[in-house]
Amino acid sequence: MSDPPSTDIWNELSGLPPGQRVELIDSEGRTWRGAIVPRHDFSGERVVQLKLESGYNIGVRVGPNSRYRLLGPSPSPSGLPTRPAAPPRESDDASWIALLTTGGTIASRVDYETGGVKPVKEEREVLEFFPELEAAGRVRIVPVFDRLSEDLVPDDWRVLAEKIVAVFVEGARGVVVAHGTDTLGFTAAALSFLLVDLPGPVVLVGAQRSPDRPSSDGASNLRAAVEVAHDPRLGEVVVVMHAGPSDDRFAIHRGTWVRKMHSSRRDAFRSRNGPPLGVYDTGKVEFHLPVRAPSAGPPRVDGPIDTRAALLWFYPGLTPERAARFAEGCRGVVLAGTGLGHVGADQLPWIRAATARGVVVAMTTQCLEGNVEPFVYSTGRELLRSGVIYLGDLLPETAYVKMVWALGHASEPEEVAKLLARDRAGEFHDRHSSKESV
Amino acid sequence: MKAGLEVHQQLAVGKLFCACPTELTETVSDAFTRSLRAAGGENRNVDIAAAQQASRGLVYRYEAGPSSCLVEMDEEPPHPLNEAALDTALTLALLIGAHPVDEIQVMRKIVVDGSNTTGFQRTALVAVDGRLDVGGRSYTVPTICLE
Repeated sequence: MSDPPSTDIWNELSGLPPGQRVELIDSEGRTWRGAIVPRHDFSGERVVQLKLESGYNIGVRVGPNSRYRLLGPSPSPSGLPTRPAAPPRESDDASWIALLTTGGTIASRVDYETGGVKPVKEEREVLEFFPELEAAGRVRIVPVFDRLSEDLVPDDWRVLAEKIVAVFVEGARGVVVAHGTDTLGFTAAALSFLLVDLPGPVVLVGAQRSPDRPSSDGASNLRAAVEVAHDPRLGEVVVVMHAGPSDDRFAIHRGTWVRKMHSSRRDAFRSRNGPPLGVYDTGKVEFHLPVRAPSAGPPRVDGPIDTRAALLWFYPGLTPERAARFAEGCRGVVLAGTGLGHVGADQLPWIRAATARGVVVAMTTQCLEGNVEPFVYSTGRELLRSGVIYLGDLLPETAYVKMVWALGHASEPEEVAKLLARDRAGEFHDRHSSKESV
Repeated sequence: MKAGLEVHQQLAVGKLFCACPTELTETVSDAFTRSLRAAGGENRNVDIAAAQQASRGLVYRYEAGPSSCLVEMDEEPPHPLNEAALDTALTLALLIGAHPVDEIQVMRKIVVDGSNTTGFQRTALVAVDGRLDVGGRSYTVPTICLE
């Protein structure tokens, strides 16, 4: 033993690198042999985490009488080595796809410190997860961000849009953006408004299960996304994700229609107010609705944006004071109202004051489906008289993103309102079918 | 020669990581298909047996019924470990003089033969070094796990 029984060995043990094998004799004289695994945030104090030789993981409390000795590093696993860091093959085939990575579950691994997942940063790591991309030889990986999507901000939408234009200019046939799913809908809407004259598809894709799981949906989603990105009929921003719980059918959603409707299911992404544009099913892309055709180009980013905008969800008990404070400093406020687009009558004074000083206030419905309609109830008519503009069947999130875009394009409230009301990326539905929209 | 037995006992306390009952049923309310990949485990290395199995490119069809929910479908993260199950395992451990570990950890055991929708089973080592005396003979119970 390296230490006499009276010495506290915690400091030494807790500093050992993961993978280091040790023989640990606990305070009760029990012997444990195994490799150090990283401590996690929820572990107790003075507990060292071991992967035992049996393969099981346990935590062993280190007492004042514990002893240990080093057994050397873990032997090389008998399994396949970690994939080498080979660069993606440059293909002679002109029809290459750019894969822009931004972080998120599709490019994350388990973090043993937190027990959660953490985004990977490098192309090499992406290829470890999806070696078939290398074999395809038609995909170039371009790391853009390494962040979870809840950490992305509107300025990142512009950065991403510029990167997309750049790879199209370099000759990409289509672009796939690997993105965290939490705010993927926001980014999809933002790119729909920002990108103009796209010569090919821009396909956002994510994963609801991290790629360190054999059951991850990341690989099959990515494969579907790459196939859709090759489709010569498509020149707009779409989201491709599982259409159901199975791994063989994927929905193609318009970027402005789509919303994450479940926290964990593979088919969390749903088009609202109608069916998705199409599906990728058993190896084939099918469109069920008219899609925007590719443009002759050149593609460009139609910035700028102005983030002095807010999205406010009305609820019973929201005081007008709280709402007014929330809207302070904003040039535009999107309300997610109840039903056809209502808020309590006590909200009217701050809304009138805001519109009077030039703030654009727009109404959407928190029902997430159906049009807002100001003429049916008196509240709606009052809101309309107060200067609130009604945004049809736009999702509240899409309306917020459009507000950020529109505020960047006009200084006068009337101009901003016109931009908001005018269809730009196929975001409004003219008709609503009685069919289930999923 | 040394021989050992691995004894599995289903505990009548509901499932380990969700609130579903454990009753077996023939009723099928949903079906779906999945493929499994040989993902790198904790040490980022791909197990050779898992890689071999995954390379067969099999598609697995699962049927869900009244005794399953999104957790079994791998559509929802596992709930916290069933406390009644843990209590039962610890009670058994103490009854046979086993030593509970200081901190129980649930680990992944990669199994890509389709028997788990996740591609791994979740196992926790609860206690070690038990002893069971039956019919005048003493049997060692080296490990007690929950899975």
